[in-house]
Amino acid sequence: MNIAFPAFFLLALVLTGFIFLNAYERRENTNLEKIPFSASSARALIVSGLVHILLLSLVQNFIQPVDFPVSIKLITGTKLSDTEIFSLAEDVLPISLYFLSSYLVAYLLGKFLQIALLKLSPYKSSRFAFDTPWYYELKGKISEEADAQIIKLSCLVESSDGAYLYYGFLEDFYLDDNGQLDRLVLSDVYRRNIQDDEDTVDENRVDNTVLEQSDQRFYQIKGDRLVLKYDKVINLNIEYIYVYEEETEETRSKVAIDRSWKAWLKELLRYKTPD
Amino acid sequence: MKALMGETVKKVRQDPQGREAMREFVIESHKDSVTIKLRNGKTYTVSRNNPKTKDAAA
Repeated sequence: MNIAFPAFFLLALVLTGFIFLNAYERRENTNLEKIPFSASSARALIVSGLVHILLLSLVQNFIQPVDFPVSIKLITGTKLSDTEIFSLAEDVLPISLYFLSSYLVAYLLGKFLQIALLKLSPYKSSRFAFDTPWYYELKGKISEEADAQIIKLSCLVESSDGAYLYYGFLEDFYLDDNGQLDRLVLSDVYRRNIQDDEDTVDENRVDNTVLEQSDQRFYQIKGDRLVLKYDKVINLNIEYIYVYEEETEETRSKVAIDRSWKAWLKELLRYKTPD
Repeated sequence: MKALMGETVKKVRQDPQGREAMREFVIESHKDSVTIKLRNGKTYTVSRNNPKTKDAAA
């Protein structure tokens, strides 16, 4: 009992840091950072310290004074006097509220930092990018210029009766605890046996005969979603597909009107603003 | 985790003609791009090439 309560109290304090790290590192039920437990524990300790310093300063200055000597006695397991125990008993509710607030603040701070980092360092090559390359690849966050709309995958899968190529659009993906790909979920899937490619097609001929032969090699897989386990995939080809609306007369005239209004406003401001 | 799926392609895939055209595009690896007209009259281009880098190169 002498060591149980201080250990419990320390755990309640350090839990703040672990909640922060969990909120910061987890997105869509997946860990974006994979670091050893020793490193994450050190980070949790530091974050806990910072969050408690911040919150205790606020409580001390704006709510009620904090009895630091009693807190130190609780952490070190020093025997408390009857007066100290009674004062603690009176403040059970504020103390509980303090800890719950610290957990909430830690969670919100972690989420905020994660969102800020993904906004400010959104690409795989960004300075503060998470160490999960697959996340960026399959979310299409490669560079500012590459604003693709959807990913088409070609997966070579070996099975007992040959190697098959699966083509489809990527809908979802799952990563394992190490940040490596675990499963791929495709839609609008076609399959073809690469043995069928033995009837070689002259790449220079682009006529209807060639196209019909290509179509016959493909077998459409009925169903809404196909799940492929990544450990069965030998090769994976990622194609970023771009989709954009064609300009029509209507959109062109809307853009022209918009541009002319902006030009007019600019001219007006220049006229109004003295040199 | 949700994979890349932009708003424009969602609109195209919601349309039955658009969905069918996108499905055919999966196996038409000899084509760099296709034009799709939806039931609402809007026309979209589906391409393997980034239009921004294509314009810059041009």
